[in-house]
Amino acid sequence: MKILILLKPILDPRGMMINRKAGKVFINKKEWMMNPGDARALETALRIKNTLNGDAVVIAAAVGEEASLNLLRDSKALGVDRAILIKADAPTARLYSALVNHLGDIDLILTGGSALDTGENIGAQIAEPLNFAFVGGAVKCDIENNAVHVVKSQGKEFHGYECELPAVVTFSREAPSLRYAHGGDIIIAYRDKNAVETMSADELGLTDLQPSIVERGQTTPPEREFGKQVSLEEIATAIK
Amino acid sequence: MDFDLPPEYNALRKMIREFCVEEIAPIAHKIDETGIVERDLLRRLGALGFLGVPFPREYGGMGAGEIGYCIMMEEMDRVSASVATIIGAHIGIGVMSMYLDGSKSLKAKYMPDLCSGKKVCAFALTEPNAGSDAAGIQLRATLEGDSYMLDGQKMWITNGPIADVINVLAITDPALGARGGATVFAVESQWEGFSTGKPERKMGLHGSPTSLLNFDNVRVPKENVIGQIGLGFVTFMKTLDIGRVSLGAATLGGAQASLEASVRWARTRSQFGKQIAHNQSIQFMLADMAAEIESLRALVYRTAWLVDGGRPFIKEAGMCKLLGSEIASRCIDRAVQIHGALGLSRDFPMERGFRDARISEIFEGTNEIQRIVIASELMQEVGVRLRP
Amino acid sequence: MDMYNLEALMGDTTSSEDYRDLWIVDLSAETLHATSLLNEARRMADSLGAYVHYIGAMDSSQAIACGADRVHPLSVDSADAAVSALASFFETHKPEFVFFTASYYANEIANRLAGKMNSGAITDCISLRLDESTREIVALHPVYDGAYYLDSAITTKPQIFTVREGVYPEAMKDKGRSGEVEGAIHESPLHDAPSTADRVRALGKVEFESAATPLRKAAKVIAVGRKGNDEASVGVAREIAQKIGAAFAGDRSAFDAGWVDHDHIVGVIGIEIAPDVYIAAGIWGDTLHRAGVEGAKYVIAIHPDKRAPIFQYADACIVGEPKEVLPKVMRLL
Repeated sequence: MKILILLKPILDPRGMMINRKAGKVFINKKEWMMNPGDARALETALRIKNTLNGDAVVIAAAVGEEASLNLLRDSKALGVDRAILIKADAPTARLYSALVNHLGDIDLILTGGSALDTGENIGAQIAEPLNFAFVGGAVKCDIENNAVHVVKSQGKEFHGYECELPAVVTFSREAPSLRYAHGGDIIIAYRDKNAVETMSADELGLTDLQPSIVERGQTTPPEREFGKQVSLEEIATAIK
Repeated sequence: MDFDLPPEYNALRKMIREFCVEEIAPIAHKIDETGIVERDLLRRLGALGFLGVPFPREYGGMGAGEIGYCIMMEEMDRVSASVATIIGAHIGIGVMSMYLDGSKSLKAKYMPDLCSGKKVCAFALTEPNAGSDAAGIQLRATLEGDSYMLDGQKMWITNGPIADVINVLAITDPALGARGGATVFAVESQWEGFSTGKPERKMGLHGSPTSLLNFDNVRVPKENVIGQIGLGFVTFMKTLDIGRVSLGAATLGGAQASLEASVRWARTRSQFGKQIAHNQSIQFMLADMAAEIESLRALVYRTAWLVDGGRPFIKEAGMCKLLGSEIASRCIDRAVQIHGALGLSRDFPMERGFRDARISEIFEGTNEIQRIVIASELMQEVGVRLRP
Repeated sequence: MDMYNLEALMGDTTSSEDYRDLWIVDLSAETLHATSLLNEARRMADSLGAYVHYIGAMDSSQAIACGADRVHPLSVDSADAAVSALASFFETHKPEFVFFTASYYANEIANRLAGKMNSGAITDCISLRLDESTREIVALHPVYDGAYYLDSAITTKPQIFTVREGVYPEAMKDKGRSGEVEGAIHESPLHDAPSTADRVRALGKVEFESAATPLRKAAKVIAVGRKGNDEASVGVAREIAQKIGAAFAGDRSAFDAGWVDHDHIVGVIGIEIAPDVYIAAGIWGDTLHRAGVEGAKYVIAIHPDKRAPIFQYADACIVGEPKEVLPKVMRLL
């Protein structure tokens, strides 16, 4: 079983100060973290690998520079078999699709349901061009009899789905959170020059790296208005 | 010249901080109130390498050296001084004494279980009559055939009530006394004749169990001698020297917590129509804290770097402990003042920090001893021998 | 790899001039959302000189009255069927702009469609600004759980957006408008690829226990205080907590009254919380309390005294006794 995990670094919101009055976002501390959905995907991949008793190969991939490199090192410390850094400016569906074709025989692609910093759902975007089945919003994901079993929430209930391979599964933030890595494994992964493989877009046969979506600006929500008198109905609606 | 630590240390700190903030900070208050650190927590810490940070992988450690160890102690003390103390005594002086001078077979026998958290270690030097005057110890180890019979008492031993392996200094040759006639032994708590007193009731570090140790003719096989017979005092002094660096790191963590809380409170609390951060008296306190912490940070990590690089570090280690303990005490004192009445509430972390900080100027070599150590190193550089 | 995939990788060779019109895709169960979106699409289409198409299950005369020129009925029962149907339909009717009514379901479909068509999708938009000269829409959408907003644009065609409910005002209907109803869109297999609808099978409801969330991480918290509460109303507050999936807590006075234990006191001397929704019933809300709930995104306060400090940092206020208000709220849930 060959599993590919797509990871994305995002700016840690704990280092941000949102000033609604000025309408600006200030980065006090520029620190990176793993997109929470991607971290859930990685945790599930490690659990699947454990259940399949080594009959699974887990490959982690990310696009970019140092922040992405560090995520890949972290994933190596946690036990993924291969970590690949694609040197390009932006993670696009085309780039990841090309990677999948380059790697060959990928059975399962796991990633977060959306990137916290842009709202993009790269997992959903790559499913169709690759002709992979797709299930999104997983809170649980297992492999059983060469098929994927996914549990996702539907309103207040949970529903199960069985999905043929090859498939893309994206994860909600209710899925189990990522385990801690052993400190010694972190040291080893970061010191090992060969822990992470690098690949260029050229090697994947891709020349068009333009992302479809471009950011034109940032604004903040309006300032909160305190002291507003409301009706009981408005409260009931707000808390449901 | 590069003052940045290599990326592996930042990644390590990130993991450690996350564990400390998510798993330990929420229960720190409870640990202080109940005086209990669950064995399960120690097991979980061990599983991630926290209980053997500086030791090589081959012994079950993290392989992160003194720098990694200081990072861990700083982050841990920042959330719970009690847990930091358990770990510090376990790694920094407990297992460390075995690591520095123990035989390969002894290390292979005990270290994996100690580093994984299956077993806890303690360092037993102090006795009722021997504190700063460590050479005044009286615990006897008498050779009887293939083993030594240990008889006597140790006092104020951190981890005493929970330790599985106790590395203890005993007099093997009364004629020579501690210097030249003392030996370190690795004693297992379940051996006959060994018992512990009730846990001491202390001002602070309520979660860090401390007790009397009773050795009533405990039979210790000679394989369990650490280092050389008669040279135990040297082993223990070496251990204490290196233990000071990570203790400095722990006090740094505590001071850091005081500063962070104080900055936050200065922003949150308003009196006379403005945030108290606008009062110069508060500003001066915060500035003093920040400056002291910055200097301590530079000192601690540079000293850890000296240790990892195999360079001399005894003087600097003494400075880490001396300055660290005094800076942390001043910082928490200011923090309590800044928080006003809230700083005295038992339901708010400052009060616990205040109680927990005091011990640092006393244990692991009082600050008076540290000053003697530093002065000895200074005078040695110019040919004057001070230390006995 | 088969040719099907390579083509997707090599990029569409259609030029951007071939893409035209504004297309509303409505997968929602009610019509309020889509009708207001149709109105907005009509406004944009008029300035661009383009047609508005409605794809969905709404009554066609209503769709036309709200601004559609063409109605294409679509009714599907699975995400795979929706993607399949829309993808093959849009292959021939190259859309310039596609607006979905946003929902978790539609967001996924929009993204899958974007991937299929080698373009991009921006989901949960709260505003769309059309630049007629460049024919580009700049969309405002929330990120970091709504902490701030991004202005983004899609540089390829089709430009696909999902738009949140309530962004546009209630639709105005013009019964005099005319339009055409086209044939229904069906799910159809694409090229020689098997239908993905066969590949995902629903297994029905399952039992699942998500990991327990500690109070400090709860997304919804309801906390009680002494003022205007009694045993009965505290019981109602607990019921509300149960009903909406919120954590139950209290302030210092609630602890003193024995309604919460020490681990469920909210405030600086207690647990600090930062939920999405915080309901404070009978809590005075002094600065020590405020500091403990600073991170709450939306604060609802119920207190009998209009001078209570809590009203200074509550988004929604009711001056009243919790023992009267809470049962009424419970009935509305």
